[in-house]
Amino acid sequence: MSTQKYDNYLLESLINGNEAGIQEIYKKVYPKVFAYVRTHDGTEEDAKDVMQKALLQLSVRAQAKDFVITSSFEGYFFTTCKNVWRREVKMHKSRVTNPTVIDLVHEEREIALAAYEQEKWELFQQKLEEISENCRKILQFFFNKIPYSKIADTLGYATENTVRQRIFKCKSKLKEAIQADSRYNELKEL
Amino acid sequence: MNNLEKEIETYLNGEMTLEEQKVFEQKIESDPVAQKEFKIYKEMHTLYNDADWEVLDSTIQNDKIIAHETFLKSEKGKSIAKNIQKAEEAYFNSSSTKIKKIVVYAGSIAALLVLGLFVFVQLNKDLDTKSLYAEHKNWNDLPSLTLRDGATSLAEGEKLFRKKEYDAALTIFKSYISKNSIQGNPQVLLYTGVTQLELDQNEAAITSFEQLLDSKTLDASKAYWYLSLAYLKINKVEEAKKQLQSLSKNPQNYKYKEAKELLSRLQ
Repeated sequence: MSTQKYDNYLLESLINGNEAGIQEIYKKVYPKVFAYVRTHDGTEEDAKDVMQKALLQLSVRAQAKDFVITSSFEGYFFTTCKNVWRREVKMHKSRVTNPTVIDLVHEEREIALAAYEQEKWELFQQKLEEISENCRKILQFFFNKIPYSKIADTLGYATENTVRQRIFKCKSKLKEAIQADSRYNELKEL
Repeated sequence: MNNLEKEIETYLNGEMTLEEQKVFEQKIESDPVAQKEFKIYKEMHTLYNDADWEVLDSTIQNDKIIAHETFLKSEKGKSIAKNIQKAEEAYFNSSSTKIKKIVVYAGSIAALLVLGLFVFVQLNKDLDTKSLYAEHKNWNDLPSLTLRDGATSLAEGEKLFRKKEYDAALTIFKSYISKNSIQGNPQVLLYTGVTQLELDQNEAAITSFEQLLDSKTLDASKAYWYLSLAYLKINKVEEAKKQLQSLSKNPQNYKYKEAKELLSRLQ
């Protein structure tokens, strides 16, 4: 089977709930998911949970007729898994901060929310890809909380102040690009 | 460049004083245009941060979410979920038969090792409590101070703490406590105690955790867990046990499962 055909087979299996095909996905991706979760403060149980949630989430999203994966299935699905784990970590943190709030969100809603959040995340990533490389680089540093001084050193800006100004402009541009995309408005809550 | 964007940036970077923050928040609340701008910048700050994730309010209403949910509850959605489950079982069963043979050999080696370990543990009780402490101290569990409170000094303190600059962090936490009521932010006491543990000021750490315990706040019961760790660190096993016993009286308590497990290992 060619790579493209094989990828299609995996995605189709997920859309239709074909057990053998899903098992293939486990063989291909689970060891990586396990390694990733374990190096990010998670256990084997967490890894299994992430895998299940990511599979179900992707299956739901892929039911839409216009759903396509432009990269490899494996790469795409692994990114989804990483995001599911990020979500779990974030939820755990806010629960620790706010232990009185025991949110009893049932499983279907949880998956539906995660799927929607993933769509929003993908839209934002895509928009970031669309701006100039120069802007993208500096913003990636900025959003990941690299200090201005270090950004100036790495990217060769004269002063922290020029870095600040550049970030400010790039951020504004990126914001406009997101706002101009009709999908951003569709994603808004009612 | 417009001023609103400047202000939003200053706010999101945590560069405003408490006063300025309040004024800004009021402005955002009363001005729908500013609110919209603020919202998208805030989304960007979360969505482009590789260590973060935007978790939406679970009560949010949106056509797409409802459609996803409806599908998951349908016959087809349920059968897919079931088959994912089955595929998982099949995957783990087949990969475990492959390693069965190795397990048999490993089993006998393990038995010898356990025997050796038992002798080792008996000889090294003192070392043992220290390693139990090391095994259970996980400061990543600490709630973020920035999430709960806009106070920038605390955010700074947490940052220093994460960078392991404990002396500087401790100064900030102490000064915060001296100026604010503990009821308002009991988490600071947790950080103070843990920082003191890292600085080997063990007695002071115990005092901080005891203060938390007395604070009658929702977080008070967390103090049991941290007190038990502090006592383990200084090899006071009986004291540590006492704290764990108090903790395990209520299954709602923080680290209930871990406390039970730790307790059984200490018996």
